[in-house]
Amino acid sequence: MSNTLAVQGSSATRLRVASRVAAAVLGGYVFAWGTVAAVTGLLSATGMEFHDAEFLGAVAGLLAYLVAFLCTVATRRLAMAWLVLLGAGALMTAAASFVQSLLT
Amino acid sequence: MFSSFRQAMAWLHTWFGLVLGFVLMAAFFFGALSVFDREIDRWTVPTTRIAPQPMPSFEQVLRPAFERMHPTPAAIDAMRPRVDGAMPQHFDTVVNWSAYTTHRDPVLELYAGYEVPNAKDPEEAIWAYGTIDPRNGKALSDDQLKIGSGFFYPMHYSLTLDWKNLGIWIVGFSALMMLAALVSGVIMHRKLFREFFTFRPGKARLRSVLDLHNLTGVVALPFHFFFAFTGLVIFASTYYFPVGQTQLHGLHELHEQVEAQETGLPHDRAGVPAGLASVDAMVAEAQRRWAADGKAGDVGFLMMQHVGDANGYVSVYRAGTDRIALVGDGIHFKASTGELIRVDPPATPTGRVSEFLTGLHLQHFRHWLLRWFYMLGGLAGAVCIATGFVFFVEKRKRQHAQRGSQGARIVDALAVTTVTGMLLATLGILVANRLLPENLPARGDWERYAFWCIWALALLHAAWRSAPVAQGRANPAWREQCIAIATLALAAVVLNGITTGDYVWRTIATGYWPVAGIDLFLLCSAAVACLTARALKRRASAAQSRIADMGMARV
Repeated sequence: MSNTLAVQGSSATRLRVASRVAAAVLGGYVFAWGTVAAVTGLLSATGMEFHDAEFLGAVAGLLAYLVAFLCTVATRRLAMAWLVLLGAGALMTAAASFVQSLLT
Repeated sequence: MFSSFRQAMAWLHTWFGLVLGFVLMAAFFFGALSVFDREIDRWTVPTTRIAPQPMPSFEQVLRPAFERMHPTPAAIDAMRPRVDGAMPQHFDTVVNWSAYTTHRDPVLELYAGYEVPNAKDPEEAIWAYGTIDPRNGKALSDDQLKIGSGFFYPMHYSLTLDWKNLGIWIVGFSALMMLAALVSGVIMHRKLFREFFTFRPGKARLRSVLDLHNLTGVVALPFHFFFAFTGLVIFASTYYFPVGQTQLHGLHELHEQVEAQETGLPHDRAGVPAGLASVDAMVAEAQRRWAADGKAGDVGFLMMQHVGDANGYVSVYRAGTDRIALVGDGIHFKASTGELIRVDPPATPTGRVSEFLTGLHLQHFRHWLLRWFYMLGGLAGAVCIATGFVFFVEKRKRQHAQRGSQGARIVDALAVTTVTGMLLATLGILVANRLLPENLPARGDWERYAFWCIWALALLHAAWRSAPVAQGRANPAWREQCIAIATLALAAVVLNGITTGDYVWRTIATGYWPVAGIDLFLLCSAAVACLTARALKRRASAAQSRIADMGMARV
């Protein structure tokens, strides 16, 4: 049973669990930050009031964090999860800064 | 690592639910208490047991009270590292005066911000806080901890761990895990649904615990989801994802400039001294405008910006007692003349969603039945988490006993501490509040120490009595702490009567529900704790005789 994995597992299992949890928590946060920034930036660019855009960005980012977290815990390809979370997170963050540089 | 998605969700639900369940328990329980924070304040500060008051006259009450305010020596010391050169001892330029009240507050909170001439960040003000009796402007002592709004409420969202906002982050992450636990719980449930129809007579108790866990989780599922989610949304742009203050600061600044132009509310001082027209007249004008729109006209928040300057303005905000959405409907006047500058336009559709979600969580509305539903929803969440702990332990303790593992024992002791121990700490601070001498210096600090000491004692007691769990039996600490809960709850009610004369029959007879309600709730808690202790005792002696029977059979 999976429940006992973390308790009884060898050190290799523990390492796998730790890596998966780190990907879900830290990778998920980077991905969520990117989502918040991109949604806030892009909606501001469409002329939406900043605090409205910020609110929708936060809502989207929190839901993105939740989905990313669940998927990362369940995925079979952990390396892929790291890549997607950090890659997409960085890309969206950069996009937000780019939009800002155009507007200000 | 996992052979199926469902198995991964079960793992997530079990382990993250267990570890963060201890935090979530506090968030749910103190959140449920915070629904009645103002009433708890009345119970713990007996001098304020008066009817809620409207915002008083500025000219007669507020202005003299504001003029008496000054930052505390502690606040001045805290500011010292953030100024260049010597720290001024007097602050004469008032950036901002404001007063806040709700329909449940007999006392009024005042805030005053002052310019610090040589602050490293010229925008940073130093603040003074005060609470007054709005009937006469008399200041109330700062040593009186408002246990409801000043302790239980911050416990709910920050565990009172203020260092680097650590508590806010811990609670926030736990809220995210609450969402994950709800989603993964629903995914697991589809399989559990089939298992419900599998009869397992030997595991009857395990099943009833699981049933209660599922019931409290599922019945209040929308409540749990929305509260965890709106809690995160409320703090997201300030703490969790401060995009507007960091990465997108430029966009935010741009917005501020545009807004200052659009609203006509000056961002900075003019540097020209100016007088103050009648604020009471401005408030009356704001109320007239709200009434014309068919809105309830109580003032919730009154603010003066750039006090004493030609650019000064007065903002009057409505208390949102008549709707769920947290609205302001602000109306702004020029301070020196009283002329109208601006009426806040109706919110955008996105703004309305935001106001609704925030208002849903913060409950400024006047609706007592709904308020009780919030309380029950919060307690259902606490029951859901507590039964989760019990299920975790019950499912494993026999296996662990056979293997000689201490896992179930440790989890059980922590569960006792977070469930009954937390109740003891909560009751303990109420009892300490009634026992400590009225004029004790730093009385609020002593109350806090009592809270944490009792909680620590509950942990020691739970650990000390936990040995039977390692043999697959129940920890007697559950029952013993239930008895302690009943005793402390009764003691709190009796002490309240003795020390204030507000015996429970008197407050009921006079209809003073803030205090009567809390006393009645304490009495109900005592009764429930007694019944629980009795049920646990019956179960323990049944288990005892079963063991004895088995012993006889072997002979």
